[in-house]
Amino acid sequence: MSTPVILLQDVSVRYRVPLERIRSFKEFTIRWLRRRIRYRDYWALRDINLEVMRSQVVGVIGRNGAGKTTLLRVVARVVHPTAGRVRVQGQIAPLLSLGAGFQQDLTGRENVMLNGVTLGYSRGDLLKRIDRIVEFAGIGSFIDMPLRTYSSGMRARLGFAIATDEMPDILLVDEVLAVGDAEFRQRCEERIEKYRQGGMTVLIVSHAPQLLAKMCNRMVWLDKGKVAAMGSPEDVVRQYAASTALTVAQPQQDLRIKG
Amino acid sequence: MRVGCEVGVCAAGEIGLSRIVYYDGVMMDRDDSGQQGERSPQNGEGGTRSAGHGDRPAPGDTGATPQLGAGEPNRGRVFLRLVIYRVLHPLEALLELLATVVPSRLFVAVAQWMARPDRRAAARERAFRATAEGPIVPAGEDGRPVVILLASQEEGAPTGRDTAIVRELLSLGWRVVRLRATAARAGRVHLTRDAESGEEILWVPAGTQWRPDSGRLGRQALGKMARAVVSCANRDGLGLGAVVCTSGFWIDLATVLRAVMNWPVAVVAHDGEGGEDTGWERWADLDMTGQPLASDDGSEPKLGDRLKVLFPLVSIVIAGGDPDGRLEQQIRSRTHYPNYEIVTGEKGDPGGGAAPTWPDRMQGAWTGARGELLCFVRKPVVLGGGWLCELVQRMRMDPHAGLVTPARNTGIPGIRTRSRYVDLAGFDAWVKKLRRVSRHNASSVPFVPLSCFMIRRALLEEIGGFDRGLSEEFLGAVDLARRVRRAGFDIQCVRGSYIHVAQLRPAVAGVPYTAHPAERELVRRRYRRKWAGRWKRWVGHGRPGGAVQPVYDSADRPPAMIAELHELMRYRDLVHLLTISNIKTRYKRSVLGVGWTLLNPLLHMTVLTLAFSAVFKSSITDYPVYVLSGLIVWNFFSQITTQAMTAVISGGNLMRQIYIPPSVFCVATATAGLVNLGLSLIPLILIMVIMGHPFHVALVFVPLAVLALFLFSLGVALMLGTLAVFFTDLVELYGVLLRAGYFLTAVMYPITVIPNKWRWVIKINPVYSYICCFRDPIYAGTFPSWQTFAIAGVSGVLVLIAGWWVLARKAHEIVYRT
Repeated sequence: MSTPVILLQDVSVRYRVPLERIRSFKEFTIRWLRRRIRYRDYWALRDINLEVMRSQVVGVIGRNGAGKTTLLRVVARVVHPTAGRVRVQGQIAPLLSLGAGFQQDLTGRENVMLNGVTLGYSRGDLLKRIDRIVEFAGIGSFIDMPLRTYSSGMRARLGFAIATDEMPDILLVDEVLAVGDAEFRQRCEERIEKYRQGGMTVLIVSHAPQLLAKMCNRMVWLDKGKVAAMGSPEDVVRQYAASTALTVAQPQQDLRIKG
Repeated sequence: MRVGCEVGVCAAGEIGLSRIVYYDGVMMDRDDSGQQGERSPQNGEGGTRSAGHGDRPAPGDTGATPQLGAGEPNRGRVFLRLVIYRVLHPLEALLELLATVVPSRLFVAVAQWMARPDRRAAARERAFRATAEGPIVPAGEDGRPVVILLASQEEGAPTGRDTAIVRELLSLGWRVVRLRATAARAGRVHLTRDAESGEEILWVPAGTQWRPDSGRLGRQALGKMARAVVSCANRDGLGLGAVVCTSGFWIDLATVLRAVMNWPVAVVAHDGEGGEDTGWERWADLDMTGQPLASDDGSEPKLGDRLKVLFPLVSIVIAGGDPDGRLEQQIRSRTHYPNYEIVTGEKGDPGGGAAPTWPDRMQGAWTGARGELLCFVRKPVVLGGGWLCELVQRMRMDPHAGLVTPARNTGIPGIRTRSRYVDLAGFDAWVKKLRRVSRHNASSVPFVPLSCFMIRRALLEEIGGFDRGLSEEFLGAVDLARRVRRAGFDIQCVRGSYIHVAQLRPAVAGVPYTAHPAERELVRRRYRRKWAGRWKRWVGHGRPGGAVQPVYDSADRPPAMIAELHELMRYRDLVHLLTISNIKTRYKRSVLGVGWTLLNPLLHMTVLTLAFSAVFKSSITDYPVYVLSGLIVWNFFSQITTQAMTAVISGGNLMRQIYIPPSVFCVATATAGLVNLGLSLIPLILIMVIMGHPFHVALVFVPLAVLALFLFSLGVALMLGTLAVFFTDLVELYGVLLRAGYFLTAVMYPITVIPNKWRWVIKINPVYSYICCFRDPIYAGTFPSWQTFAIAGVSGVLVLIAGWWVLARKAHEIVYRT
């Protein structure tokens, strides 16, 4: 009688792209009064149904603009679905981009607090754990320097360390593990593996289906906002590979729409 | 004379008693003197046991026309109660009235409007689409499902097609009631049974308005028919019914019945007569969830199959154990609903030799239940007639109702609320009476009565069943109610379904479970721990470690303004840190740092003093104090409002990566402004000391003025911050407006320089009232007039609410637009 940790029912997300660029209030009022606002609806997700059980690792593949990142954003409650229902049970660690909201002029320590609070931790809690975070990020004495002196690798390490210091119930990963050196990436993978044993659910997005297939026990292939296939990694990867082989010669229309 | 015997074992007619006193397992008579007697079935003399025919007594036997309250002094009370019901629940009365006065077309339109599908509920309905369809279980002579047949003929023999339909339905075990008109105009509505074909006929007196040849039912005839069917259904306990319409002529009536009674309608063959514009195609042949009926292979489904889908399978779960089988007998004898099963489940043995606790037993009881709806029943309960139909009806009508309960017997004349004895026939008669006036009414209730409740199976599965850790019934029930509500469903008490629950429970409820006091304390602590997490989730940090996992459900959100406030509370630490970083990063690379906050107004004041002090020399003494106190207010307002716009726009970058309530940015900007205001008081005090300006008692008013100013500025900031996301031009436009406002606000000149004719321009500016409130105590040493402060305070609160409303409404869209 277990309930899904992540439940998506008929979820649709629509981005409205106005055909003419209206950025001023006066123009908007005039056009609104004359009923002249025209939009082009772009459905990033269309009627997605997905259930993820506890401690599953689900991979999402698809081409550019297929709605992968939007799917993660919906689960991370960044984007409210235009239609449908999203239900997420548990604490989410969204790694949509590492170190979101870092401020250049503050020190590393202040940024750890800011970023941690942004993730939903309390200040008192963070003060207790800050040493552990710094140790895992491996940036040593740099922690009291302003963030603008950091290299991009250090920023990514710090961001990952904050987000995964305590085991979240759900981890959302969007191709972010490609940064950092090989040694740090291995430590990241070890940590994720350890949390997985502890019951963490992972939703991971990638362009590289072969790499993903090794980690996941379920895969979803999104195509133009819809679920094209769902099931065991081998099946989905095979179907995906077959479709890309077929369409690779044709011009890819969906790329133009997204741009 | 007293006779004790088993209930449901003897039909009332057999004993020949006019009134039967009933209490779970004990049936007794009651003398006309009203004297009550009690006897247990074990030692009752003359107790008759005949387990053979345990069926519901026929309606005629239990007194189809009971003399309720006859000779008793509470007739006035009865009348009063009926009047109250009429006034409080006038829906049915209103519809009946409408039927007689409004033209039929409009009436049909109203009925259709009332039956319109709730759009917002559509998604939820889809989520709980019927999963299991059980076969219809024929349930004895009177328990058969009812079909109201609206056939095409008026007089004479039915057509061949109608006869075929009647035969098909009867062979499937349905009870068919056909609507026919009697020639006698003064005749009353009544049911007769056709011995030959087995169908029943509901006779309705036909007026002259009933003219089938006109192609449409006249308005009076329509109202009359609808009332006739409804009252017959109520009086004769037809319960949940289905309407089969075989002719376009009857579509109007079917529409009304669907709206008033919420009966499912099946249109068998539309012969094209009338009713083209009633839009029946939109709702005819829809099942409980609004899905069109269709068979698996795509062919036209058979009528019998179509009707089966309209009655979802209900599993009646006997929760507290029923060793002697009396509860089951009672259920079987008093349930009219056509499609149910009785489940006793398992004992719920937790293993290890421990006695099963309450949740163990409840959880065990519904294992193996197949129904889409689960109805938990336990001793000692007396079920009113038609109880189940009404509950199912409620579930069908309202997709938000996740858990429904019958109404408890309170205040039925002659039956004390917790009496161990119930006058069964009287109880039934009262239930019928009450149902007539309060049918389809339901109210949300906070609590789940454990004697009898119905819950959607999908819902119970989703919330994870009963919590086995909470072995105390009371806490378990509260816990269940809270989880149902958290899942986004409502708990409703259905007025129209009645039960009677006697007080003495442990003696009959089988083996009672009594917990050790220490265990009770443990359970209580567990409950507190479990739900403390929820409170924390709203107002504090629902971080890991709490007993309850935080849940985000896009379909179950409080109203936008409240939701945004909850989120702001959750992210209050972020507001704190953003405020600090806002102040720090502003002057981070400058040499003087925060010193600029002090220096800025001083320099501004110096410039203004050099320029204007000569001009206003006569009217204003201590001009620097005058201008600085005005400047502080104006700077605070303009700083917050302009910075809020850029904060939300640049914060959009962050909001696309991670969830943050957008109000955080505005509030953090406002609190940073507040700190700046506090700092800029230092140069003001400095200037006052240097100039030798006196300090007055009225200074105590300053914090109040600052508070009102803060509310107002925050409200404007929230509004502008939201709008700026959608119209970036607003940032520039507002800059221009702000400059104009600066000169119109009497910051650097006294209002006396303006001619009297034009002073209102200054005075309608709300910012001016804040400047007055702030400057009067400091500069003039007087309290501001109460009118000024009232304007300031009220406009502050109103603007804050308006700004909050704008932001909360657009909170979801900000991410889409940045």
